[in-house]
Amino acid sequence: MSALVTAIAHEVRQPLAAVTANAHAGLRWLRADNRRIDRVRWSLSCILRDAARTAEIISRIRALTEQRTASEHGTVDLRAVIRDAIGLVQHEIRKCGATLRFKIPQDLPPVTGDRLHLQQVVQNLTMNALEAMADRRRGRRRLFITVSCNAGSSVVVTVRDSGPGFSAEAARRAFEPFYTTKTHGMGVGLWLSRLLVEKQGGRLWLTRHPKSGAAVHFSLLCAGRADQ
Amino acid sequence: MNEKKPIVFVVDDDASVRGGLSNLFRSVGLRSRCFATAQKFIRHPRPDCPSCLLLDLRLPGLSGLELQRELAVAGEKVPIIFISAYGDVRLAVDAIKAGAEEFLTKPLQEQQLLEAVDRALQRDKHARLERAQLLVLRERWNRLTPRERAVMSELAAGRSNKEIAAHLGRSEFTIKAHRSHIMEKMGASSLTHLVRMADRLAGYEQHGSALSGRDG
Repeated sequence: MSALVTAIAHEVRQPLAAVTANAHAGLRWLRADNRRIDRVRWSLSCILRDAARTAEIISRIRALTEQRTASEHGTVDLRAVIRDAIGLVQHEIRKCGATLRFKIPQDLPPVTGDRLHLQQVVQNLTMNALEAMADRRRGRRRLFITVSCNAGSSVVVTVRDSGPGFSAEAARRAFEPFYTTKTHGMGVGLWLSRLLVEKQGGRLWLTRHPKSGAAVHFSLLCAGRADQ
Repeated sequence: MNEKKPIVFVVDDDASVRGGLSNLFRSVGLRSRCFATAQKFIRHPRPDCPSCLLLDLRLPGLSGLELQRELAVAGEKVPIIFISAYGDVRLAVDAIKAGAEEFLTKPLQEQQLLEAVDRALQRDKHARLERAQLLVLRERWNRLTPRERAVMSELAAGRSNKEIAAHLGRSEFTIKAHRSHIMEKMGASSLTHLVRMADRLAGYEQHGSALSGRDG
């Protein structure tokens, strides 16, 4: 969790830096030899804006952690999880004009984990993939979700897209909370997904495919194997 | 005249931080110019006046350290003050090793920041003056004839007219005439002055890049 603490510290220090600078500036604009009430007023309104921004950051983080504390482990049908997650982003897939391909083995064993958390992970990864392809002018927008089974002990889910892929920098920093290459969003998607997968005893990682976009993979333990 | 007034460049991806810093600089009578990315700063033409760069370490796209490297490669000698919201000790060390003036953490201490900026601007002002003087010397030296240049380097090595005459196979009278031409062309008030000039030019020849940097 220390990465989260660092990230929160960074997020809060930014508006705090602005508040401090504006407060000092405001004091200087009040000095007799330099008096500019309009600038004082402006400095104060900047301070208010950045204080509100800080409060917003804190409440978002709180909402995020409160939502994620309860976890119910059970036996989960991964096929249903993926179907439900895709159902939730159907609209975005159509809007993006992407084609979606599945490759899921018929005899997929159930896995252990929290159904809603896993659904959230699949949904996050799919949204990331769609957003990565949204800027693409040329080429087909293709989304692949594949599941492979590893000798009955674990399964690996891969979400791959035909977007521009991760830059070296993005690949290095992808799991830092609040790191984002997008213009909107908080940059917690991958970080949170990894946290959720690790809570179920799995792993989440990404691979770079220079010619064929990005792929994010996560593994989960098959039901009945976790306790062995 | 306005062109010579110092300017503080700020590169930070956070709009609030940029706004706060430019407000603060303005309140102490300093000009500033803010950029959201390193690329935007690179593209912006820099006026020929004392300046310094307040640079955020972590930026989208080109990072602060990468910009520092790019500027060094381009021969731009603007003093850099790094600012970071992280306590990146390792990065701070890298930045200082690569010649950064200061490394400050956010939120910035007003006094510390203003002093650092003031020092950086002073240093840049001196450096610009030095470079301008060297440029003048260089132009004067370029106007010397090859023979005069040879005599000048002999003089700089501390040789007498007589020794130079013998060394170059010319009469002492000719050397004296060269010497007075050199003094005049270089604008030297005394032999010591001329020797100092020769030293500075030699220093330039050795370090090479002193004049190749772009100032504008």
